[in-house]
Amino acid sequence: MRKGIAACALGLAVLTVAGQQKEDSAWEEIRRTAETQHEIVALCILKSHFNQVLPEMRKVYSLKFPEKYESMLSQEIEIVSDQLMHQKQYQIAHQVIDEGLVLLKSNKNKAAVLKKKAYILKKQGREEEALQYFKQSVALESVRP
Amino acid sequence: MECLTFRESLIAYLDDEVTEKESELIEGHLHCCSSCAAELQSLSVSYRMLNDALETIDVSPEMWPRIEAAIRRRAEVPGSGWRSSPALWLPPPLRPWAASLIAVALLAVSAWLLSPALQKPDPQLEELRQQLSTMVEEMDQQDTLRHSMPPPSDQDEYDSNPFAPQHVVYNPFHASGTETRSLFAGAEGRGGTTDFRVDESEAKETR
Repeated sequence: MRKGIAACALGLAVLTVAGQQKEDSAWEEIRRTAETQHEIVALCILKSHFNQVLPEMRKVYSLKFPEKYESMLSQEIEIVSDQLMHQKQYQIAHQVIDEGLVLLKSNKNKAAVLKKKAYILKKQGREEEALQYFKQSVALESVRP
Repeated sequence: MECLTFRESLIAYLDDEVTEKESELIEGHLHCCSSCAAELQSLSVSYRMLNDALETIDVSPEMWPRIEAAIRRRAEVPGSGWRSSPALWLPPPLRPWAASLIAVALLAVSAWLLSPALQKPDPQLEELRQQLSTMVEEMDQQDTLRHSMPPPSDQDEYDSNPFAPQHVVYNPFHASGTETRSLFAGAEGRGGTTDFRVDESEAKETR
């Protein structure tokens, strides 16, 4: 009887580990693709091919990030929009943010991206709009997670 | 057209308020224009009826000087008479301009009163505005920090990257999370500043 229970437990452990490994390898594939896409987006900005930025970012968005790694996606949105802002590509920066924002589930990540949007709007001199987005961001932070 | 001119003068003719020459002209027209003659006849009947109806009042010769004196006294009282209206101080050609100016002034005052700047500021909104300014300043400072960071040691790698010293960021999807070979990469990816950094420990914890 005891041997049977032990065998079941062992089997369960093996299955859990196998499942975890499968999940890890799936995530690793997503991560590698995202990493490569980031380099492509970086190249597009570097070469001033700004029209290519959004299509390449959409490939990142289509990767279906697991929720626990969502912070990476929000950081990517912040980085790319920041780079675009420095290149004065405000419209594309806002598009990158708007399209990415709808994919985020965590309030913390949404708030961070909204703050970046508010920052860019403020830099554009669009004070009132910046204030509205900042207000949303603060509201989201107060109802974490 | 001629008849119209004469008909306008018929009342004056009946009141004996026309000159002799005008009277001759009117009479000459009446002889040849039956329509105007009929009009005069009609007016004469009306006049006669009116005179019959009105009671004749004997007015003393001092009556008019007394009325005139009363009008003059009233005109001299401040706040009465035509001079009490400010617009009437102006010569008639300027009066329409004065009216327009007053209308424009009223519009301007209304717009001023309704402007958002005059609305009482919302303290919460003001606080948010302040927080936003602080956030922007902080982000600007972080940006300046990135600009002022020394160039990375392996210069060759960054020579091809015009962003390297100016816009140092890293690839958030890089496996290490601390070391990077991203095109955007720079000093920040070597443990410099912490902004944009993936919280890898957090990610590992949740794995």
